[in-house]
Amino acid sequence: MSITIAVHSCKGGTGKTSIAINLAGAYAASGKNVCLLDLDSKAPYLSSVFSPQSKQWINDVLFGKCTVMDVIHDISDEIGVSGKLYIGFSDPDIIAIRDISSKDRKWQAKALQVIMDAKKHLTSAGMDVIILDTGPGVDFSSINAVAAAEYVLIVVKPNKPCLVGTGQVVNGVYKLLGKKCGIIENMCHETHFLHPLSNTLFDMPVLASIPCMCDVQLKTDTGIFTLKEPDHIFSNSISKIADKILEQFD
Amino acid sequence: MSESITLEKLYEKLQQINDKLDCFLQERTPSNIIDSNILESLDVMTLLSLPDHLRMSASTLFELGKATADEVSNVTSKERAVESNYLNQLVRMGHVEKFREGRKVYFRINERSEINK
Repeated sequence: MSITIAVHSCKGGTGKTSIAINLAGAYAASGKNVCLLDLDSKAPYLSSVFSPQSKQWINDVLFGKCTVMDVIHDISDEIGVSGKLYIGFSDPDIIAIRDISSKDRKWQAKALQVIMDAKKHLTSAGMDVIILDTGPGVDFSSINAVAAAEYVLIVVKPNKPCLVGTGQVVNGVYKLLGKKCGIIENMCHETHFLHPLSNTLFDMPVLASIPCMCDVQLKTDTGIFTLKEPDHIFSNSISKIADKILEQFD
Repeated sequence: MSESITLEKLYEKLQQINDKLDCFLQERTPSNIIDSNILESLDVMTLLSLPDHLRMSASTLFELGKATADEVSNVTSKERAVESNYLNQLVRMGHVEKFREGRKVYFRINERSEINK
């Protein structure tokens, strides 16, 4: 069985991309075939971490110029995992960002279908887990990814604006689309802000409470932290999150 | 009045009710998305603004690609006739297209928008 996980948050700067990269690394290290897609096309990030060789991007898939299989890169040997890790990058060039940011509702309707087709291609190619790194908030590019996923991993920072915004998105998007969800509270300064004091938030399970750690952010900028430091508290949290998500599909 | 004429009149009345319901649904749609061009394709924000029953049918079609009313009803756990009615409402709203292959009638999300522009 293949599952598609969208990593999303209502606000920027919650550590979504860091969670997405490390979750992908954790699944690949446990022997799974994983594909990580950068669907944050307005602010692409993965290309600056992994330096892709090819010049084909997810943008080309969304524009109907090629299929997702043409744009994913196998980095398994590079990072030394027992499974497989493929990454699809969004074009970081400002012209590409301007181009995709100007697309209208009709184009976005088709883009959703393209993402659904990409998911089917990747599933047929034997991917166990597909992780969609999304942009923050509610716009077409992020909610298209949420709509295409079976599971939404909601990353929240434990502060009032983020919690209020998350509540709105839970009730106004995730629940309406009938998505299974889990919440991670990230960058906590007080330990156990929500978890395990509260195991649910907005009727969604809180999977983990991760303290704020500067070394994680710094080292994620240059690779997969969980593979570099598997015994770190952050890596342990990511492994537990990975297991808890799969348990919900047993 | 013969039975067949009565049934025909009943069918006609039901069609009229269906059409009125569709108009009612479209009137309830936020004004910024009432546009004949937009209604040719189904985007995720429009999907979110649909009534619960239609959103479930449309979401299922996104997952299945092309599907018969029977196949959609297996996922949504509704009666086939009820699901068929919902799918036909989505067809009349322009979000879904209906086509025949052999003896089966299929539905799929409308693909009339052009991505290469």
